[in-house]
Amino acid sequence: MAEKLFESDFFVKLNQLAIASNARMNHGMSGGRKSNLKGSSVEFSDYREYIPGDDIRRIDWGAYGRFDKLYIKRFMEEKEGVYQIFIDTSKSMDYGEPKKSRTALQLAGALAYLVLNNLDRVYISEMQESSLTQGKGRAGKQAFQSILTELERISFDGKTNLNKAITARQYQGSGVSVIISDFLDEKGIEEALKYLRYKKQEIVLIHILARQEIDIEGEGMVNLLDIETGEEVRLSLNRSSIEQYRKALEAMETRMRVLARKYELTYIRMVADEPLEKFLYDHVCNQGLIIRK
Amino acid sequence: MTISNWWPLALLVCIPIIILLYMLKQKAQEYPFSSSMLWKEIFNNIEATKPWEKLKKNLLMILQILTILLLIVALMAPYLKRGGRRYDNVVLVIDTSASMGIRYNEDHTRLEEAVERAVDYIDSLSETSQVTILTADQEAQIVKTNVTDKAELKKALRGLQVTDLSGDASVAVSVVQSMTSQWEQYQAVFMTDTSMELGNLDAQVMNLYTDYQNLSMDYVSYGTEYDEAGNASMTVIGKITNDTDQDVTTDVNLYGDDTLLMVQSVVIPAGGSQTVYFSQVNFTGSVLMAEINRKDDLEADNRAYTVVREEGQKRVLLVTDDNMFLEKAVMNIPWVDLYKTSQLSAVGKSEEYDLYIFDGKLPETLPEQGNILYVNPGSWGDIVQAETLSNVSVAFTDTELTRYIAGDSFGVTAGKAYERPIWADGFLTSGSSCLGYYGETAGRRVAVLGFDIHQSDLALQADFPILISNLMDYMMVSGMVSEDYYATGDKIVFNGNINGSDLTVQDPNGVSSVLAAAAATNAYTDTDQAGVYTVSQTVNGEERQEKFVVRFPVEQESHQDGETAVSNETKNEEAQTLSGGRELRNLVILILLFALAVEWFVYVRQH
Repeated sequence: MAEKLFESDFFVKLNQLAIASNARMNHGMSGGRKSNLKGSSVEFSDYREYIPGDDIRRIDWGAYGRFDKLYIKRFMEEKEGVYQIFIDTSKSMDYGEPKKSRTALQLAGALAYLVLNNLDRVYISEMQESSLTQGKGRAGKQAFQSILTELERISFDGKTNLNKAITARQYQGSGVSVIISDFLDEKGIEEALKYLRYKKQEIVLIHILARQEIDIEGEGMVNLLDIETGEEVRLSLNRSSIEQYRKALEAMETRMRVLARKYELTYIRMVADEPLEKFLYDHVCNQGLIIRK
Repeated sequence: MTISNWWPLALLVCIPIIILLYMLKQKAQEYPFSSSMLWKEIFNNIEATKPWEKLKKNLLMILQILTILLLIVALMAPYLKRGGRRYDNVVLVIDTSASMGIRYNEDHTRLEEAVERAVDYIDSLSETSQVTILTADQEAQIVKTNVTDKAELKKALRGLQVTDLSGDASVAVSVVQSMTSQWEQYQAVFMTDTSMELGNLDAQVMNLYTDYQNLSMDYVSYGTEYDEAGNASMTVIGKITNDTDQDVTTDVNLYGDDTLLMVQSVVIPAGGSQTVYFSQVNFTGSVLMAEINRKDDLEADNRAYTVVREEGQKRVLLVTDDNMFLEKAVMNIPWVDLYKTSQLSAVGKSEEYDLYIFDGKLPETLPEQGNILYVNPGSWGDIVQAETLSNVSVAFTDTELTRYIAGDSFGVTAGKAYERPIWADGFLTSGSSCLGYYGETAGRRVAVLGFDIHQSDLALQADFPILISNLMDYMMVSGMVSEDYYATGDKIVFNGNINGSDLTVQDPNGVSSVLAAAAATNAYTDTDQAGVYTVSQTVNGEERQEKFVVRFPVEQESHQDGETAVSNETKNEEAQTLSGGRELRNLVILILLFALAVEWFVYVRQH
């Protein structure tokens, strides 16, 4: 990627957002995230207000009697959150106007920025063919530039095998796994989701599609060339076949949503020509992955 | 089914061209896409419903091929035969005789019914069928020949009119036979109201005879009687025939020159005839008409006409020295006043006669008017003696002068043979010699007897007074019209004055024809219509006009015998229907238009 991924004012807008996660961290270095582990040095970190979902056994009833509000007394050791951002770098992502690949990188960069701002750790992984190329884990705001450089170096080529790529890695501890892909993999992704769930990952699927994949244009006989596999499909583009494609695409999204319910994960669909900040504000915030400050 | 045109099959070459165009059109363009995953899913669905989907894909091509095929079929003009016969050549003979004017049903006469059936039949023929139409009454006439234009044929049929002529469709059999001899396959149909013999002709007879109710005025005539004071009294009689199955009482109107003179009521028995009398008729005009005052199934025969001639004795001048035989014979004729002289100088000086008989004498000049009978003349003027005969047998040839005596013979001791003039007919022969002739020349009638009656035994035979009577009948006609009554279709020769103008004949409709004055060259044949005709000629500045009647053929056309009019063959119901076929082109064109509409609809939906 030669061109710049972000405009300079983009991060000004991003600073209004923060990562929001209820993931229980039991691994990782010290970070800004509270861990539920009882560590060797228990540091009293003051009360914090009770948030729905917190363990009610930890409610400080004395504080409640005094303040008439629910507080949790925290004696836990603070742990950093670990975020895995998986980017599908197969050739099919290099399609569209604007290209899905660019959008994916922008999204990955934006999420990485938010994670680093939250004093959490982020890993950027490239999924290509059956392999996974994981970058160094980075934390701290100063690591963002190197992440950006890493993102800009990513090329999109090869075929897709998300299951094999994701299950190729071992994961230690819980965390959040964000998979950015077009999910155009005939073998699907369920195996990878099972694996990540087994590995106590909170999963977010961001499904990127190009506008040209949603609104098909053209008519007549075409030799449809799969840019990833090189396969050719000869068919007649007409109202009927386009309608059938649209239904197939809807069915695919439905399958993804079914998987999301089944594995209690977050599924967000994104169109590549949608403005990133709008996507983050409208969709990602709504899903609870990030919050406004 | 038959095909009229085979050349449209050449257009089948368009079909592979259409297929080729579609194959070329379906050359696919490259379409790069992110992944074929979803497309392969739907492609599998297409494969699963392959036959239907492939059909839908090529539906436009199939419709266009179907359109071409339908167009080819329409151009080939397919024709569905009925009865297994081809009708490339069709002959229709329509009987237009007077009986076809009899009512067939409440709506049509027999002719109108025949025309409607013929029109329906023509509509059922293929477009390439060639049709010939003839009419038949007294003779066959060709109306249209080998015409394929149905509109033209139907117009010709609807223009046919019933005539007052007698006859039937059988007069056309020989014409149709010679016409159809040149064709391998044809259909000939005769539409008539009587049974007929077809001989060897393969044809269909459509008999339109139906029972009918009719009264006919067969004829009307008159007589004049004179009382002792010389006052004339006219009696008119008419004969009515009842062709119904019941006794009929009806009024009969008598008109004189279109003015109603008298009305009589008469009862006519069923299937019989009755004479009606009108006495003491006070009429001095020229035409009497008797009319049945009743509507029936044939109204053309409900009236009859007669022409009232001028009455009076005929004046005959016998120029002879002495001829008792001739004198007695002529005097016996009641309507002849005979005058005798031996002086040639008396001829043409003061009085005029209807007939001059020159017995052995020849005048210096002929009288200006009057007919001439020469007895034993020598060569003189037109009379050219060829030879003298002695002791020969002379025979009567068959002519109007020799009615009742034709073929008889008599002996002549001395006779003269003549060169017969071109205007004359011979009536006395001896071998090849002509001893007597008659005819009309220079505006008068002339007869020549080539022997002295005293020098023959003719006066001793019964043939003599008969010959004289016939001669007087012939010679005494002073008008242009020889007869009082003619039948429809008759050819009439008028005795015009050769020194006068051309003859003008006017028919009952007022249509005039002009004929030459010379009898040898005039022949009036437009007597198709019954009624009163008028012939006129201007002689020396004075117009002469005479009327005559052409009678309706009641005997042949009004009194049809139902038993003989319909033969057992034509009573068959199937013979009453014409087997044609059905032109399929219009149906194919309708289907073609429907296919075009479907093609348009499919094209709009796809694009």
